[in-house]
Amino acid sequence: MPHPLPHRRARGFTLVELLVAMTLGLIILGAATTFAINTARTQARSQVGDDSMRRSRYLALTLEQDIRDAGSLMPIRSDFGAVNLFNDTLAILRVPARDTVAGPSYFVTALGACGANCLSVRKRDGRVEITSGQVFLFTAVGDVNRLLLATAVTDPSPSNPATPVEITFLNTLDSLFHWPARLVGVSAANATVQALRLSAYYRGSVADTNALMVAERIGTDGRFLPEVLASGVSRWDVAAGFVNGTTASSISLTDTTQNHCALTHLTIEATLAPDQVVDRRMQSSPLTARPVRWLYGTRNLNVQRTLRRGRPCY
Amino acid sequence: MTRRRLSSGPARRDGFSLVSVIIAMVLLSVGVLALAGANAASLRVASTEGTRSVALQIARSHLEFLRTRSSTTLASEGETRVDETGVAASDGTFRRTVTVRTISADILSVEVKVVSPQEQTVVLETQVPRTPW
Repeated sequence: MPHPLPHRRARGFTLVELLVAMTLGLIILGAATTFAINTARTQARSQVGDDSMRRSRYLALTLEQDIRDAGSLMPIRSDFGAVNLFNDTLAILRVPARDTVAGPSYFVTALGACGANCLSVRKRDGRVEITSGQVFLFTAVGDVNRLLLATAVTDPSPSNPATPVEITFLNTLDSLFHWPARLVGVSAANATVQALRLSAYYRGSVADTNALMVAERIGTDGRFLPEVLASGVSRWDVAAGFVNGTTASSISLTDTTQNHCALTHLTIEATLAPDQVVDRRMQSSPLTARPVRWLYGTRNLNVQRTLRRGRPCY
Repeated sequence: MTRRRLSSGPARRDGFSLVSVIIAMVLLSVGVLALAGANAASLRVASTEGTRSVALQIARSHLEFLRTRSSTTLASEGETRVDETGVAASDGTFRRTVTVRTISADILSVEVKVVSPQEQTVVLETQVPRTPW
C-alpha cells in the first residue's frame, strides 16, 4: 500500500471504530450528566432542607424562651394570666430584664390619678422603669388587674426622687390583646404598677398571609407594631394544654377548666417552607416542607403551681 | 493483510493493546463506582441524621409534656407508634416508650425512648421530684 507521507501515517478511524467510540462516549457522557444532575439536585434539596430546618430551629428557640419565661415574677390569677391564646395569636407577658438589682420584681406604688388617663406613681431608686409604648400591669386593692399601655411618661423633676412620675395610658380599649385594659371605676390609690414585656406571635399580614409576625412593640393606639419573624409558614396552629389533660385553641376566661392557673403547656404545629426555592420540582418533597410540632411547658407557671401545692393562683 | 505496525519514522502510531485498555477501563470503573458509592453513603448518612433529629424532637416534646404532669400520675407507657410530629398514629413509623422508675422517696426517673424507622434509638432521661399532689 503506497503512502504519500513516509514519516507520518495519517490514517483515519474506520467507521466501526468511530461508531464504537461514539456509542461509548455517548454512554459515558449520559451517565456523567445524569450523575451530575442528580448530585446537583440532591445538594440543592439538602440545602433547602437545611435552610428550612435552620429557620424552624430559630423560631423554636425564640418561642421556647418566651414560653418558658412566661409570667415569671408576676402574679397569675384565674382571670389574668401571663399567656393569652386566641385563635392563631399567642400573646405572652414577661417581666423585662433589668439592668439594676433592686429586688426580685419591680413594683412601684400608684399614688392616685392625675386625670382620667393618668396615673401618678412614686419613684423607686429614683426612677420608674416604664417607658412610652410599654405595657404595664396595674393591680388595684382587691386584686383587680388591668393591662395598661403607657402612651407618655413624664418626670417633672428627674433629680428629685420624691416627686411622683406621671404615666399617661390608653384608657379607650376594653381589652388589650384580650387582657382587661380599661380603668374605669377602679381606684388608683395604693395600687401597684409593674412594667411588663409583651410578645405577640401571629400569622398573616396584608403583604404575606404566610408570614409569622412577632410584635414586641405597641403603637400608642394599642395596635401591634409587628416584624416578620419567619416567612413561608404555611401552617401555624397553637393549642394550650391544661392540668386536667384538655387542650384548647383559645383560652377562655369563662370556662373554669381553661383558666390561666391551669395552663401547663403550649403545643405549636407549624410547617415552614424554605426561604429560597432552588427548583420548583423539589417543593413537594418531604425534606423541604417538613411539619414540626413543638411542645413547651410554661415552666415558670408550673414551678409556681408546684410551690403553691397545686394552687398557683390567688 | 498489511502490517499496521511500521517502524519507520520517529512517530510510531501504535494503538493501546487490549490488555492496557481493559486495565484502564477497570481502573476507571473502580474509580467511578467508588465515587458513586461515596455519594450514596453520604446521602444515606444525611437521611439517617434527618430521621434521628426527628426522633430527638419527638422525645424532647414528650419528655417536656411528661414534666408538666403531676408526679402522681406519671407511669411507664408501652410502645406507642407515633408519626413524625410525635402524635400517636397507628401507621406511625416511629416508636415511643416511656419508663418511669422510682429512684428514691423523693425522686422519679423518667426515660423516653424513641426508635426511628431506621432503628436508630434516641433516649432522653430526666428526674422529677415526687410530690404528693
